Amino acid sequence: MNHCSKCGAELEPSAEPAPCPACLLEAGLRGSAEADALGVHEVPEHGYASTAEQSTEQGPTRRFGEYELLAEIARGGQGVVYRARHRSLNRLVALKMLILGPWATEAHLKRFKTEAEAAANLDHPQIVPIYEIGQVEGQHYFTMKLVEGPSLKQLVISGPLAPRRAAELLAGAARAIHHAHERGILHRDLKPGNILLDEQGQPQVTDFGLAKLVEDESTITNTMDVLGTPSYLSPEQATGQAKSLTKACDIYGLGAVFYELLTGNPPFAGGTTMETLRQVVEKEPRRPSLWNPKLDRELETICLKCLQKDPHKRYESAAALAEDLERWLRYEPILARPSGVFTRARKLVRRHPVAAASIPMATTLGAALVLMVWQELSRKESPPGAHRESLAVVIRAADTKSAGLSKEFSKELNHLLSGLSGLAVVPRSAVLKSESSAAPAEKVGKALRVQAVLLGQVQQIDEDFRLSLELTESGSGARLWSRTLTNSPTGWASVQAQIARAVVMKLGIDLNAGDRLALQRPLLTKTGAWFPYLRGRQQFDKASDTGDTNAIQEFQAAITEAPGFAEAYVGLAEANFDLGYQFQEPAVHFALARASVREALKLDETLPQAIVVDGILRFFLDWNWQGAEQALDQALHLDPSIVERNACYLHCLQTVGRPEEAFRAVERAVALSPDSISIEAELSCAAYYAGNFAKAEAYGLETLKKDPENFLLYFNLGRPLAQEGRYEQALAKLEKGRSRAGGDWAGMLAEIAYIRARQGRTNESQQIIDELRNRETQLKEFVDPYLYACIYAGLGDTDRAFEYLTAALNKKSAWLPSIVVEPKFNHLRNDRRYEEILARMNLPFKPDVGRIKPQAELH
Amino acid sequence: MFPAGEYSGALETQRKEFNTTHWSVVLAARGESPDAREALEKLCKVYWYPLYAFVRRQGHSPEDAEDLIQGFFALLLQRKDLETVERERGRLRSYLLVSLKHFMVNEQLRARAEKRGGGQSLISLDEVEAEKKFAQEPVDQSTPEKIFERRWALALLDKVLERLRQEHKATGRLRLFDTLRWFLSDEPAEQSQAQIGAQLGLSTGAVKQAVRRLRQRYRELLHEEVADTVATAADIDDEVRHLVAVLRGP
Repeated sequence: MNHCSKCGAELEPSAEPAPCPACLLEAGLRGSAEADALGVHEVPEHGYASTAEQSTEQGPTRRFGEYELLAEIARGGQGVVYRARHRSLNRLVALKMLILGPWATEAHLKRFKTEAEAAANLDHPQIVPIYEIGQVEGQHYFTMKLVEGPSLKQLVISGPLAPRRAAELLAGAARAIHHAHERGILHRDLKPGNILLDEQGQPQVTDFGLAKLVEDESTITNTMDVLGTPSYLSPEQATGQAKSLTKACDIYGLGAVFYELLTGNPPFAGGTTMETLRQVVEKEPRRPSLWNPKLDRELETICLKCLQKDPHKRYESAAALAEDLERWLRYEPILARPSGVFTRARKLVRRHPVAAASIPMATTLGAALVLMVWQELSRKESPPGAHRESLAVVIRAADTKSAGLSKEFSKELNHLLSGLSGLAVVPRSAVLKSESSAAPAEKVGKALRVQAVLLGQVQQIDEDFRLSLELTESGSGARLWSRTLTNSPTGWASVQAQIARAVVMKLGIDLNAGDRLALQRPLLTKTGAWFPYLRGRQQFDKASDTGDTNAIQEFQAAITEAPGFAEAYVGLAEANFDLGYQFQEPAVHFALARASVREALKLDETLPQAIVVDGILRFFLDWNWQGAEQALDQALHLDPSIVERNACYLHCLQTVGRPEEAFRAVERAVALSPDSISIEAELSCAAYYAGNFAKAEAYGLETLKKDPENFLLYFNLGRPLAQEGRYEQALAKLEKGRSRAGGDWAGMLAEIAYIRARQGRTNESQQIIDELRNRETQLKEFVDPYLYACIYAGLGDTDRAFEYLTAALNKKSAWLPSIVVEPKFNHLRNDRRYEEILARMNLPFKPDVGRIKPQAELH
Repeated sequence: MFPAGEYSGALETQRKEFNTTHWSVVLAARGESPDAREALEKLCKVYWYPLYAFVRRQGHSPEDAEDLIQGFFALLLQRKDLETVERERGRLRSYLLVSLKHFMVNEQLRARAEKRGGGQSLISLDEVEAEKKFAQEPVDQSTPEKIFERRWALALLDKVLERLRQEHKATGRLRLFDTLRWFLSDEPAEQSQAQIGAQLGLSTGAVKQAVRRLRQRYRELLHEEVADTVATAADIDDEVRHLVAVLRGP
């Protein structure tokens, strides 16, 4: 920053020298005027340039320093690229002018120069070389080799590439990126437009680090706002962590490019920048095979591994990515394992001991449910003239002042609801009379011969509105729903979505996929709550103790900013639930989650995510099984994709006392997702809970072959072996699992202690109990009493086992619902105390459950 | 000889405007009259960018900033509650900033800029231009308020210099203006006066007088523009001093 030599004021960085504005203003003060306010004389006329002459001075010149600019090739947010000729060398180059050039600060330019020089040192056949970095008249620029071929962006305009070609191109680009990474240079801005094809059809990566650097550093806020198209941006960039980027952001960028090459679409593209950013941070990309069903699953797996939200889960290097692609090109098996939406479930399992069995079951049940819902829907959609509910939307103005707004609302709601396929809405022209009358809803309904009437009254209060709505059944006159709505922090669109969902819920309308889109709340807030909300989501996705704690803080900040922000309350509830589910005392955190979800529902009782969390709490906190199932059904109906997001909780639909049903659901899910290890792993778990240990072992071994580093698979295998009395084999598996990453969790220890107890080696069992206690007292880790109960059940200490089960009951242990299917407790089921526990959990006492004959036929 | 008639004509119209400055019209009419509305609109056109920079520095995206500013102006131009402004101490600068802050607080609760603006723009904001400008804002620790004040001072100066330039252009003296504007704040050295004279074909004395004249006109225009934003003429110098202090920083 320059300073005025006279007064020291900061001067605006500018292309040409300009007078100091502070001095200039001061000169305008009256006092200073007196000195030269004396005689005013006329100035001789001659010597003035005409305006015409002026313009010739700035006449268009194609010369730029040593270069002659021939044609504009591209223009983007950061600069203009010209096809140019170096005049003395007579060399054709691509010359990029940086738009921000003249105004950059010293430090910023220095950094740009350093970075550009580093990039200029890159020497790789797949990297467009930089020739020169310089400035002409304050305009910064650099020149590169002129690559005449099209960019990948131009290539995909006509549709996805052949998968082999896409894999070849990406492998080449990944090799180039790796070369740069090894020299400490990040690209930061990989997108199809930045990869060009040379004459041989080889990829050429361009624009290394430079442009994005300029953008990142000259951006004042956390970079969120000034991005052009954030479709290819990594989540860490999208949340403004520009300063601490790693190579992982380029791996993500490569994945995003690959995604577009394979599908013809970027991984995320919302209607607005904000929307896209939200998707980048929150949503999983649509699986490439949904765009292109013929696509090889292995390529999809590679692509999705690059697009993992968590940088650590992507390929550890661009070279590793290139190698996997090359393996695929050579028809060899790839190393990447499919994961996607199921990773969270797996993470949960990793942290959470015994539920290992029930959680994986959850994901599969979730997927199966999605299928069922979809099948049902398509069945319902197909026949022409299928049943449709009929509705009249009548919106009246509370006073003359509100007439304009009332008309608007009427039009918009009519339009919105007419769009739902399962609903026949009376055209607006037919309700105009009713809108100006004061007839009660039943009368209107009968006159219009519709099943229901949505009657509203609008009052405009300054800049706000109050919309009172009632949904009435015409025949009976029953009031199905009523609510007074004011504007919400997420805008009118979200109020509309809320109304539409209420109508759908209360009238029981069938929905198709298009309808559901209309029902989704466009989560856009123009308030400052947005940033903390996004950060909260990101923290929550870490599925860790601190992640959840941080998420809670962020969501709370969002709520402080925007008190009516229902989604932030849901986030708060989810983070608290997760804390209780995985890391800390459930009773406390489940109660906190309940309070938040109550707030969310108060703000919007139709919000699917809020309904789901409510359902989950009904299950884990209230042990209200039916209520839980109802809530989850309700949410599923509104938004089936919610199953994917909450897959791990949804086992509550069937695990309780229905193990065989659950097993079959898992089988269906596996058929649906043949590549998912985590789903396949659940076959073993489901068989274990169904009491078929041989099958559990067979499935366990099968799955283990595919992912031998997954500690959970050893756990799954150890449990049925133990139940069959093959203790040493079971222990060998469990010890192997324990040595794998993440395997040293309380559940694994408890299972080992249980086996030692069964073997009569009580000392070793006791040692593990001591270690678990130690973790509690020394490390302040929460160890679920349920785990101790399992060990004491193994030791035959029935009293202690019940003591701990009772403690688990009081602490609302998240494991406790599996008590009915856990074979370790089989010998306790005739005990009165078992009956009591079940009674306190509102579970019907069924002594047969959990006693499926070991070889029961499951098919 | 330069066309004296034109020059003094311009002066006259300017002086007339001076008697009824925009802000005082707005205040006197309390927003009721069409004139007041028009006056306020004109002011908004000059000073929208400082507001924009303020909103952007607060962390809003370009689109949201534009929406917010449009929504704010919409409300401002519609509202009839200008009597809440304290007349004596009322300055457009503080008034706009305080109102904008209130507006933003309410907007957070309401978030209905998309509704309000309804796609129609009240003041034409060039968002692309604004973003270019905003991209140049120094990356420092300045608060949104400081940015706002600094931008305000510069917008004011821009407006004055642009008027000065237009006046010269209209009378075919653009080159004179472009050459002499460097001396608005500093008396040119004897030597450069001679050089300039040679360049423009003027004697040193004539250059001196031209500079003096330019400076005087500059002062008049500056005072007019400042007067447009304060309630009473007595506040003009105070406001200028305040803005000088803003630009010079702590």
